[in-house]
Amino acid sequence: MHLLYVMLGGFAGAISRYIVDTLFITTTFPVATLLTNVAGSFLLGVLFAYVDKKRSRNGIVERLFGIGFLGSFTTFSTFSIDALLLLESGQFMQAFFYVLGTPLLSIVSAYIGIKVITKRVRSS
Amino acid sequence: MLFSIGFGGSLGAALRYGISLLFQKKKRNFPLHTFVVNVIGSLLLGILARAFIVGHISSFVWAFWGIGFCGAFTTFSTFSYEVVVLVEKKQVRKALLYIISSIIVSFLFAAIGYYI
Repeated sequence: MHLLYVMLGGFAGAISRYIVDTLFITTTFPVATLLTNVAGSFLLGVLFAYVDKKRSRNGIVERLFGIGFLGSFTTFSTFSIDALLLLESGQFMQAFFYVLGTPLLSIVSAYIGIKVITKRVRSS
Repeated sequence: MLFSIGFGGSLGAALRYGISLLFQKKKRNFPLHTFVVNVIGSLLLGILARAFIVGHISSFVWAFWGIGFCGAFTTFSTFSYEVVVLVEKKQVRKALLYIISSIIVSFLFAAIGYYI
C-alpha cells in the first residue's frame, strides 16, 4: 500500500516536471530543471520539517508528496546531462554557473523551507 | 506521451523507494542510497540521451525511460534535504563530501553513458 502512494506521487511529479520543461523550451540555459530542483527542494524541506514536528513521519503524506511527488519532480540525472550538453556545446560559463548554482540554491531553499516550518510550529 | 512519462515516473519513484528501504536497515550517516540512485540514473540517462539523439530509440521510449523513469528515479530534493540534515548534525565535512562526490560522480557516469 505504501508503494502505491509513492507511485501515484511519482506519476504526477514526472508529468509536472515535463510540463514545466515545455514552458522553457526556447532557452539554451536549463531554466526549467533549475527551477523544478530549487522549488522541489524548498517544498521537501517544508514537508519533512512539518511531518517531523507533528511526529507523523512515515505517513501517507510523506510518501505521496515527499518521496513520490517531489522526489520525482526534482531530478539529478537531467542535471548531470544538462551540464554535459552545455559543456559539449562550448557554453563553459553557463555550465559553470549551472553546476554551481543548482546545488547552492537547492540546498539553501531546503534550509529555508525547514526553518520556515520549525519557527512557525515552535511559536504556535 | 504524458502517460508514458507518468508511468515511467511511477516506476522510477517506486524503485528509488525500494532501494532506500534496502539501505535503511544499515545504520549509516552518509546517505548512500540517494548517492547510488543518482549515479546509476545519470549513467542510464546518458546512454538514453545519446540513443535518442542519434535516433536509436523512439520518442515514446525516451519519454518513458528518459524523462519519466530516470528523471523520477534520481532526485535533487532529497539530496538537498539530506545535506541540510548533515550540516545541522554538525557533520559539515561529510555534507561537503556528499555534495561534491554526488555532483562529480553523477556527471562522470552521465558522460560515460553518453560517450560509450
